[in-house]
Amino acid sequence: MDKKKLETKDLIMAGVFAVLYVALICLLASLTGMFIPVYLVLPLIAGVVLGPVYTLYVTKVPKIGSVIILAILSGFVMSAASMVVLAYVVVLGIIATIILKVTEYSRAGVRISYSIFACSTVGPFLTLYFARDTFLNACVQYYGQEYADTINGMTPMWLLFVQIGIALLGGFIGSSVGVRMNAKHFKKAGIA
Amino acid sequence: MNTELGFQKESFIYIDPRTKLLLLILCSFAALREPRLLFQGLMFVLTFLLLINGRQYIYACKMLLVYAVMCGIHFFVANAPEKNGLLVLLMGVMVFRMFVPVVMVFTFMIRTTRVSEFLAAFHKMHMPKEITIPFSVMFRFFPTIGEEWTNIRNAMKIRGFAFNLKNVITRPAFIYECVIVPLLSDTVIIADEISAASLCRGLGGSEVRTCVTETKMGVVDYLLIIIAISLNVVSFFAY
Repeated sequence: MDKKKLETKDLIMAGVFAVLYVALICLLASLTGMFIPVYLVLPLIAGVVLGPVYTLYVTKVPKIGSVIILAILSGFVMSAASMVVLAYVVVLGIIATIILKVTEYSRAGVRISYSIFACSTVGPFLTLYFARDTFLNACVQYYGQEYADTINGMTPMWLLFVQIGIALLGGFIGSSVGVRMNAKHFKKAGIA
Repeated sequence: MNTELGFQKESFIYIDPRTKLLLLILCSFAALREPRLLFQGLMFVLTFLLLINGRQYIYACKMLLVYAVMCGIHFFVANAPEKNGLLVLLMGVMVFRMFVPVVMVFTFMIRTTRVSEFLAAFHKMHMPKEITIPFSVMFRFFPTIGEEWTNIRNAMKIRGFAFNLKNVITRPAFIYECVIVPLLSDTVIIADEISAASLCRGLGGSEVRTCVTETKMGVVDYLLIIIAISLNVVSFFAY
């Protein structure tokens, strides 16, 4: 932790971990995508599964900016649809970085920061909530106002807040698992 | 295993990496703002032509099939006498159809651009290396992670706990540990190897790099950008 600037080595580590992060999200999304109710709790599942990835990454590259790079890269892929999501993910990354910096990468700090960062998996759903307006406009054109209202009732806005809540929970569980896994496996193997 | 990502195939008409990036961004803006079928269809045709230009025939045909099925469902529902129950289906189809062109441009960008082309283009854009290096590593690493994933699954099968639905449901924590621990270890080791290789490529130093790969914006690039921008303008004034 003596050198604060990101070197090429750290940047490569960032790229590789971003791929792992994104690939796991895509895998989970395609596995759960078949069952819509399970798909809606994806933030919880993703938070738990990706916790160790984040924890190990933060242990390997404990420098300012590492989480932001992860946020930009994963956000870029997740938000292939709209740049609003990218901004949202990057803001979460900045908050997570500040928490890590303030708590000096202690175990509790890693847990809290990942709980925040885990909310990024709500990002793709954010697009759906935004795209809904476009879709509803189209619905009005095609079928009239009442059909649009029916669909509007099926995807309520409070669902978004529930998703953020379970993302926080999932992130906390995932990073706890990650911290324990670091001690159990990676310290022994000499890679953490 | 498709480790080369189809890189060895040269496109018919060379398109600059910067244009591809810009196209992706512009395309994503336009696709989400205008839901009408005519406009969406136009965007699909354009991205389809891009894929054909990059010689991604199989992928292009697959996407054509998917798109045709989606349009079929759309017309079926729109003409059905009783629409109430089918509307959920229609919503899913319409939302996913918006994303199809964007996904196609993204795949086009990944499959038809070499890493050195990306680096050269980013260099010309004066992007900081904090962005360029992770970005290019990411593109290179996607197939590798797929390979590792196959190996881990094989190893699990040999040890007698295959990665299948039954095991995932009956003992999720154990299976999860068996997947994630080797995956993370592999990732760290591969990252070390890549950083060793990057030293040979001269990425480690603080000096400005020179590059053999030339990237130039041609007439086609400007034409594509103009088309993409005009699509955005049309979608902006459509309402």
